[in-house]
Amino acid sequence: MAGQPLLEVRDLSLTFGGRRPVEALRSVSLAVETGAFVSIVGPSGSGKTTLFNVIAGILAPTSGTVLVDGRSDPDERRQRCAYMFQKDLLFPWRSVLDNAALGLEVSGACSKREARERARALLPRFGLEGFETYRPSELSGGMRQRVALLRTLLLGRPLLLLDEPFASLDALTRRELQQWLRSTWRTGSEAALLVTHDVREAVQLSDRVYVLSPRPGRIEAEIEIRRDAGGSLDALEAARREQEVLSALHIEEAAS
Amino acid sequence: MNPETGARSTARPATDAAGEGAASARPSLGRLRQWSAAAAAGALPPALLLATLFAAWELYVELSGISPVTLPAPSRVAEVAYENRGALWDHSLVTVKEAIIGLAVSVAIGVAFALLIDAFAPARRALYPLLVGSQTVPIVVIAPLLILWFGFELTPKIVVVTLYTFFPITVAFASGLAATDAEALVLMRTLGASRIQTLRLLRVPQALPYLFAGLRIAVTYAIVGAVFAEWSGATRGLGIYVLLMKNSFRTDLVFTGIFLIALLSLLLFLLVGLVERLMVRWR
Repeated sequence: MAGQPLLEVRDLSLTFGGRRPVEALRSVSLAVETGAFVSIVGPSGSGKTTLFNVIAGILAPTSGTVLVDGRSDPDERRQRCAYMFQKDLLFPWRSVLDNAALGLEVSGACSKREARERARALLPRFGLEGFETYRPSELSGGMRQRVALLRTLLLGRPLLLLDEPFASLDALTRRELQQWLRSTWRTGSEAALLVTHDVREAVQLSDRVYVLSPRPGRIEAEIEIRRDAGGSLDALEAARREQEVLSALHIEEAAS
Repeated sequence: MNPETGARSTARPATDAAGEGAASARPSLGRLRQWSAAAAAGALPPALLLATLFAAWELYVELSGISPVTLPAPSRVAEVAYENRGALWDHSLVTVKEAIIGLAVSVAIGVAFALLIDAFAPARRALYPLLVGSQTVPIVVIAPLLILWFGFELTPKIVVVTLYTFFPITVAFASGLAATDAEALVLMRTLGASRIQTLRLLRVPQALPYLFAGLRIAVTYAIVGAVFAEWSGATRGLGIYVLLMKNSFRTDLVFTGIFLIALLSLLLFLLVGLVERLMVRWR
């Protein structure tokens, strides 16, 4: 894996205050290099979404540093993160095209018309050609997630943050979208960080997998996935790495 | 997964997508037609019930020999309505005009208040009690004062209609703005949207169905409000018409007025439904 770290998280801790304080993250350190696809796997409630909100500059950590493209200021970080959520969060009153163009429209980087044209140009790659004028309620779950990803990638921000983007999809659609994402995420982004609790998804997509412990979230393991020059993954390697991730999660498979 | 299968599944979403999309209905005039057909079917049961009630009423007047000044038969009400159609039309127009202008003012005031309440916590604390208080003011008492201040023309009627109708609109729209999806707000933040952008692109469109819910309540008060204002002092309109007919013992024409008022309220209600269909098409 080559390239400078685009994202660096060092010694990050976060405790939610209040009458009964909750320690969400403890001393988390990780890095995502330019060109890399990195995943974080952890059980529910291990603070994955919290970690993302900190990276994207929405939540302030209790201690530790986050650098995105060398910037630590939360606003500057936010401007460098393209954040995709578990829910598609498409606006039901907007067409597919207008939903996809929303981010560009908000950024004011170009006119509304140009935002639409840029979105339109990418529709074929996202399997949405001919659906410009459809409303989200008329689309399948998989298509809706693809519109959401298009909205995210169109921003052209370097760091792509994917928060369980396929969790709400059926197993078949999820597999299709995972394969497709592997070939598409570079459209507009330079590095990607995926949060998931699907071990297979993490291994299939990533160059490196971090395993996060249950609350408070700590990095339990860091597992490199070896891919060949074309980026494809050998089945034996995949199986081994999956096993490694599972044992780091303290889930042992009986037969192996 | 081997590379071959990978490549095939990569290509699949597009074809799948085409199949799924083609199956779902496109929004069009057809949907509006479908809706009117459904509305017509929905109107049948109440129409039958109403016809039964009218028949029973007619029969009672026929058999009891009650004086038409006390209780006219529906057939007589219909007859005088037809005979006086010119005058009724003129008075109705005046009342409808007052109701619609009053409603429009209410929408403007309600939306402005809701935005204010939403934007500033102090405004919410200061305004809400006053708004609730305004609804406890007996309009019976202040309507004559309004006549005193504004005269017999349009203004006091609009004020009364507005007093009757701005409250449900304000409360409904404010609730709609407060009900914005929290995750959608985070999305707008990550996109770097300003407060105004978030309001314009997310919160207001999202609150529109709430606004219409408030408007549907308000609209049922609008005609009655206008009639009441006319009752307190006017030269034209259904309110003053009904009052004059009552004073000259034309009970049949009083009934005509009552039915007309109910009918106009119903029509205005349906009109709001139609406007909602056109403006909130995603539902």
